[in-house]
Amino acid sequence: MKRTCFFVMSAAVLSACAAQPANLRSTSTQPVPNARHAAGTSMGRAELWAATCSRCHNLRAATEFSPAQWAVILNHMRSNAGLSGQDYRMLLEYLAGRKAVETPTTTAQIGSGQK
Amino acid sequence: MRKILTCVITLLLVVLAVPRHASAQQVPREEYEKLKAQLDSLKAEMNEAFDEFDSTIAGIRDSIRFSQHGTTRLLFSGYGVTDFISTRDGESEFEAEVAPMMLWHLNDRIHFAAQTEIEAGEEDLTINLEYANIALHATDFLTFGAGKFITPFSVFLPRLHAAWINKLPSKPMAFTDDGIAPLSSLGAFVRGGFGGAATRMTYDVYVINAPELITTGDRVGQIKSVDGGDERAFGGRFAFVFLKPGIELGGSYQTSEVARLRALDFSFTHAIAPLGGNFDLRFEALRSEPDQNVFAGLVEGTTRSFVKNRYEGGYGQFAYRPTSSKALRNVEASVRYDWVNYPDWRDGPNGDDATRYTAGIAYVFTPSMQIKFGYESRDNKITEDTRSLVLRTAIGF
Repeated sequence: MKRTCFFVMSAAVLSACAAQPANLRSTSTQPVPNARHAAGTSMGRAELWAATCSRCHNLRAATEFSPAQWAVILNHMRSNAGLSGQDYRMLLEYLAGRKAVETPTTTAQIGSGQK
Repeated sequence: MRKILTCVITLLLVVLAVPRHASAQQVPREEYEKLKAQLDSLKAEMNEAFDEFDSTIAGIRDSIRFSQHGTTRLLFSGYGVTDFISTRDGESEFEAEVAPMMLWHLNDRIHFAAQTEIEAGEEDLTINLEYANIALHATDFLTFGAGKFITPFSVFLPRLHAAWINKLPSKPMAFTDDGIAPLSSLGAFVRGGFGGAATRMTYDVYVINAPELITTGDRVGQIKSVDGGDERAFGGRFAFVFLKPGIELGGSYQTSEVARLRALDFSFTHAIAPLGGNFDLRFEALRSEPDQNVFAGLVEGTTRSFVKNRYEGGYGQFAYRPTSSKALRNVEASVRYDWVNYPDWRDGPNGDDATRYTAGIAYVFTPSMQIKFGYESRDNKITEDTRSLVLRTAIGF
């Protein structure tokens, strides 16, 4: 019980400290939001990328993988991290610069990957 | 003055002399409207043609991207790790592990993932199929899957156990190979996530081959996953995720004939500017309650019974990376306290409960490649306490 109280208290203190938005700093190994998407509406995607991926591991820059590789990786992460379809498409657009196909409506369309 | 007057009169004469052809050749309003409509229509057709052209070019570009060797729908990756472990009593050993992974992206809806774990250490080479499953993203909020998958029970097993992700060079005792919940299971799952701008709810629900209760040896009372059997276990995890400021709170549950498992998890991951770095705070607690009657039935002729049938454990971990410091921004320091309590039996033996403190420091060469150094101090209830140093190099995909 003491242990639980200690951890809950620690969490509360740190949460209070974290009232300001995430500060993504530029370091040699800590990628920052991709410059080619860093303006305008893409900031939402950059924030989503930073907040979602850092829940488990260090952030990976868009340049680390090709667009095709990102499509494969994000599909895997969609399943692993409980991402919604919308989150998946936003991250795919941000990291791979590609739009995902829309939700298919028939089995045949699912098989072919076409809308 | 005379010059100016002459110019003005000349100009007037010229103006009056010019025939009024302009008004005679003016396009009628009707014709003008017709021409304007035609022009607008042409413009629209042209824009449509441009859009179609752009779309075709984008399609060709995608086709080229997807036909590149090694970057197509199949992606081979994984992670590798080498360890050097030295204990206080003088024993030391090297270990190595590689976990090749194959991801097969049929399209944006269908996905196959498989990973094996090949480990060389003190014992013989061990090869395990960690997972091999196919997933279908049926809707934005629903994914079906089947096969062998990492049991989505708690957080550490499904998301943090990979060596390049784990902050410290060892796993918490509750999540080792002899831990409370089996790493992977055979069965089917439904999972997904939904929510608003910065809040999400994620869910995992699964049915798997029911685990077996271990009835002999040091691990008596623990459960282990099996590849077959008539019985099934059901479980799931639900979590609330607050993307700002990076808080996740989840609960897991699994039930089967032989044991009931429960877990709670909390994590806080955030960059705090005034404190100059990234914070990662995690806490997980698990409990397994083997069924008393089932256990008695499994061991024929025994009168053995639990005094305490709870097998429980967990950890609290804190990591800090000073990203605002030029000198230390690639260094991450971590501390962890973890514990495990085994079932106790009437007339013995009692479980060898243990607590452990671990302090570690990692140098992050790249986001997926680190060298980690850790010191562990483990206090056991029955056996001798241990102190050990672990040096780990890990690289992941």
